[in-house]
Amino acid sequence: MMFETLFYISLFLCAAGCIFQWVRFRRAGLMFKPASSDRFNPGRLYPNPVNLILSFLNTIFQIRLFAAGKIRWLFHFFVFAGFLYLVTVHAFHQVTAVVLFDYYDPTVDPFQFLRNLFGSLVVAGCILFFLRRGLRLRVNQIKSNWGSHLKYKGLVSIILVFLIVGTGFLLEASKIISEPVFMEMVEDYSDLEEGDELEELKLFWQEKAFVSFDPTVPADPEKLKNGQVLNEVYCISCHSDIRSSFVSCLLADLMSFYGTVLNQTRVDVMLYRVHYGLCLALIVFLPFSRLNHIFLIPLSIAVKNQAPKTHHQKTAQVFGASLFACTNCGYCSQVCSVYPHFQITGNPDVLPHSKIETLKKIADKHPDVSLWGLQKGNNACTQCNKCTQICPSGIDLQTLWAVTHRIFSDNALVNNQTFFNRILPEAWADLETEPRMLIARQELVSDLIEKTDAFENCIQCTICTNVCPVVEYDSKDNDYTPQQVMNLLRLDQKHLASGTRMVWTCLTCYACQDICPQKIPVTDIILELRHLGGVRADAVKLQQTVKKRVEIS
Amino acid sequence: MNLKNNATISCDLLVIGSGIAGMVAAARAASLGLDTVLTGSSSGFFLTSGLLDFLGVYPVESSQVLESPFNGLDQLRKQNPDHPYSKIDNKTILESLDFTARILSSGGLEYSSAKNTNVNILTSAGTFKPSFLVPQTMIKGSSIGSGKKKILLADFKGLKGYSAALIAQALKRRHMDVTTVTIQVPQLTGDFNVMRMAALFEDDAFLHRTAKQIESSVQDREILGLPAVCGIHNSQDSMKKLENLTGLDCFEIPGLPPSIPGLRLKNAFETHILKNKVRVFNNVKVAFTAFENEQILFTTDGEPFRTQIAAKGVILASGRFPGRGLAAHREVIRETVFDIPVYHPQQRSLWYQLDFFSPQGHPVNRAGILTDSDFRPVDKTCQPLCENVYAAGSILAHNDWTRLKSGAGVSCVSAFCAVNHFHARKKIK
Amino acid sequence: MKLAYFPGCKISFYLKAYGDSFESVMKHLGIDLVRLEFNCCGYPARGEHFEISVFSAIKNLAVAHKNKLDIITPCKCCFGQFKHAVFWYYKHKNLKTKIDDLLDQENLSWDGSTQIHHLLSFLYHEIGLDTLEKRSVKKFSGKKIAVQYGCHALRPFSVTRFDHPYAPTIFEDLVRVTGMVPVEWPKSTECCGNPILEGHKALSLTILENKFKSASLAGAEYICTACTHCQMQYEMTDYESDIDTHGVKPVLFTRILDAAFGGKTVF
Repeated sequence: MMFETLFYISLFLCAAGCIFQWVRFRRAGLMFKPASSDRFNPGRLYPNPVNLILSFLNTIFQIRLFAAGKIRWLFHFFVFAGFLYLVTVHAFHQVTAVVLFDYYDPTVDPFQFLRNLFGSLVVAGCILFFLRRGLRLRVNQIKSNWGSHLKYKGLVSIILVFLIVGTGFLLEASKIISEPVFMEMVEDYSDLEEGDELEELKLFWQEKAFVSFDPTVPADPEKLKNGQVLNEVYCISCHSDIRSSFVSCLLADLMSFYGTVLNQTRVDVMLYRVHYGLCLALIVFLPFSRLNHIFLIPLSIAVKNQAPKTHHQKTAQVFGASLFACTNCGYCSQVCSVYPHFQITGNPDVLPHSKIETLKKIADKHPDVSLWGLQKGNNACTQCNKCTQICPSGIDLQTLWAVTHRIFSDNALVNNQTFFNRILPEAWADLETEPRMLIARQELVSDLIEKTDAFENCIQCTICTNVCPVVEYDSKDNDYTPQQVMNLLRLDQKHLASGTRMVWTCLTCYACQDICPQKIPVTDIILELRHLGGVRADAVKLQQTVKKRVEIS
Repeated sequence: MNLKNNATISCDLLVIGSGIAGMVAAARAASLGLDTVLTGSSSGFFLTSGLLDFLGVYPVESSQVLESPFNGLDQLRKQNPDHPYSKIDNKTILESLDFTARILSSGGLEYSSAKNTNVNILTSAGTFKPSFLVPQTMIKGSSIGSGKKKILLADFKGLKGYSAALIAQALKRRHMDVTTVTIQVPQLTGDFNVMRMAALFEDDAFLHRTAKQIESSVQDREILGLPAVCGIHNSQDSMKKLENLTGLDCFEIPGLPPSIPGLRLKNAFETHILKNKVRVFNNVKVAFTAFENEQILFTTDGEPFRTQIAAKGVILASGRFPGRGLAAHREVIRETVFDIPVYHPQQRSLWYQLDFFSPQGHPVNRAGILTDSDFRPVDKTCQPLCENVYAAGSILAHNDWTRLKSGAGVSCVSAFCAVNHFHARKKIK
Repeated sequence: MKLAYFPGCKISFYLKAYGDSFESVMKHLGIDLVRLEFNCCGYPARGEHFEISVFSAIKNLAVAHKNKLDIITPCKCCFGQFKHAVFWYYKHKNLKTKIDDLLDQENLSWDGSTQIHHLLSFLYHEIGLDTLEKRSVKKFSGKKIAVQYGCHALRPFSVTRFDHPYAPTIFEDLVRVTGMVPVEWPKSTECCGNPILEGHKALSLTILENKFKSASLAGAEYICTACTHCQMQYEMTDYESDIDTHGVKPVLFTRILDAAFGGKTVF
């Protein structure tokens, strides 16, 4: 009665947790709401049943994970398949096995054997997972600087599963050796009284089924034979040969050294409570632990399957729950097209597995998040779709990265294009930047601006200006022409030059460069000016964010 | 021209330099069936007027415009036996100029001349400049020199470096009958772009609007002068259409760079030589590496996809200082490809006259490469440096082409002859 | 013949048709395309971060080099970026040292021997017009087409060595193989506007509109592209309904070729 009450309380807590989480997921999704001018239609965000079923089937066999990494799939499948069997056939046997099989009893083969088999699969899978983490063989651990904050992610769930199955085995073993349990069974299922017959049955169970009796029943081949007959009369219909529960037998064998003590303290009852309690804990924590990915992955795959395949991202939306379907496996970052970007800058938020963690933190209003790093990192994304294709959780990362910029409402986090659209070159040239932040980004450049020989030969013939499509089509808004930009350099006005509209609208078509009679690499110089402006703009923007933070605190 | 990576290509003739001399040399070589490669940058054409001069002034001191180039030619040969023209007879000169006109025509650009005489072309400075081969779009302008025509000059509002009023003022001093009109171009705002202006002429609607704006100023006028921006790819047609619309004869007036007639010239040359399978390495520098088995070996710049070029002969048409064929150092002028000795005054102090506007010009303007009569560069003993290396164009010594108004002529003629000599020598072998 | 296939970033999601038809054409020609673990070519980082843009490209070349394969890409920007990166890799000694160190950490190296092919230059030089002519079972005689050359392959010539930077002929020659008639289009070597689509959309679309207009004036029914970014730019008309295409349709060269070879593409 008490167990049942506890079970329903857990279920209620789980349901409440689900609602809480759903609100949280939705809030995360709303972060990416398109600007008010765009149509926002959240209706499409909920998957239709067909997609849901398809993706659920996919989840049972983890086809996507198989495609991404075979070894991880194997570990995962051990745990998943084992646990799925134990939950359905064992934990909920009253509504599954009992209904389906009229001969069902947990101590009857094949169920007794299968329970051990699947249980051992789970344990093996868990141990392999632990080893993999301990030996740092996970994809997201191979590179130490990929993000140490992910080290313990999802560990609680694995430990919980491991403990549940572990206590299950111990429970079974403790029941095997238990004299009190034996006596209860005899009382319930036989009409044997104290006497020779009971002694004979006890001997049989002591020899063949590892029960620890106190005192030990003395061996006698004749009695054993009689015991076997009694076993066939009273027990065999509900108890297959105990050796088919191969893991528990092994444990029972070990436990029988302390059999008397264990039996006296009724360790089996204690273990039952622990086992049951852990299962309830699992139910309560289901919405909050990594285990929620069992439900979130099919959901996010279903949503992705109905997202339109188009490069018009104006009205694209994000299904908030899919963010939380991420299992930090790191495959996305392994295939990430802009991985070299990370290699050079060391900014982990270039990589998808880190970006999604940061986004989750932002959704939860986590205090120490570097929006700056995320903005820089996400800017590098080339929308190559590789992470989306490999993601075992089927998250629509492609859309996510395309709309991530929407969360940067802060003016200090605009990209450089927009930044320079909003400032006049003259004002830009006069801005003061903190040198500390410029030094932080001292990197190699093409060395065309600092060395005058690249542009000093400019004769201001205006040919570059004449072949420039930007000058041609942007005549109303363009400020300086290419040849004037070269002249600014000759006048040592590189900062002014780096803020001109010409530099930031340049199509990089190289028409000017290839036609220059003086062989001045006009386009390459413009590209370096962009770099120069970009570095300085970053310093200015960082300064503004820091100032803002100081003001707030 | 299409190229594989790391290719080694061999050819009969390598032309270094893509100016007028280089283009004519490449075209001539192609017409003689030689397998030709052309290198260098052709963007210098933007700085040329598009007029092909032959010999406008001689002697320099006289500043006297020659009515016919041949009038000055004999005297030039007598006084300056090292001048490129002294190495060629009149017939060949005419033949080479005719050849140039023909290849330009094949490239879609018509040039005409006035029967062995110079043509005086009005410039945007209001002066007249003698030239020989003239684009068809400008030739009608030569008729105003007589002073009898009633001229209308048009300019475009906002077009820099060109003012109809200024030219009219200069012409009125010569007692000519001139009126002006300014055409508004609403499409053009902000930075005024000559190329964009020229592209507009290819649009019929624009021509109609322009004609309409001129209409009221036409009255008794006979001839209309426009800045040389009337179309890029099909200037002759645009001009004809405008003539039909206005009912006036039209002509272009060449002005400041970037020059649209120069661009047309470049396009016409390029169209012709590409049509005739000349391989072009645009904007690529070549470095001489070795003489080997009667071949001359070069490498192009651009690591690591350099191209090796093995040529049986070379035409050095790399120009003077702006074209980087010659490089001036403190006391010495060097030739940049082979380091051929350059003829120039010994001391730097003698390179220039004290009077900047001295009518004789400066000695450094006559610096360049000395050649034998076949245009092969020679060493100090006047022996050819190499059997198959020729020089052509402005790099040749004793040739003050700016003052003699003979730039294009020297280029066309020397290039044409140098290729002929190479071809003849190759045939004998 | 085996080649490392470098599709670039955009094909997989935004322009599947290009990838599919490209692979089909290569299959017809008996070219074995090998897919390697490539990353971005570095083009998007040009002007933003010099080191990244060059390193990205060189790393790809090193990956191809490790597999002893040459690279082929259907994208002109990728092609141009490779050439550009190689140019700077050799020109900038400090950069070369830094890149070599980074490559070394991943057991990679590059010695400059990897050849970089663009679809067009590969067809023209390695396959040859004659072979293409022979393979084309279907001809589209008389269809007038304008070819879009794409800037980053064409210029700067001294770096890319693709074709003449202002008067190229290679694309026209290839288009003729299918029986189509290339028109004289003055804007064929001019930019499509794609590089500034995000930063300066209005200007980018103005450039695009002018391309359509001038192609139509030149008498073209189609604009033929052989570059991922150019094609994506021309397809912007699907999203921006107020762009007047003057009846000119953009078409990928590989789709024409695939149809000419009797492949699945309906054109």
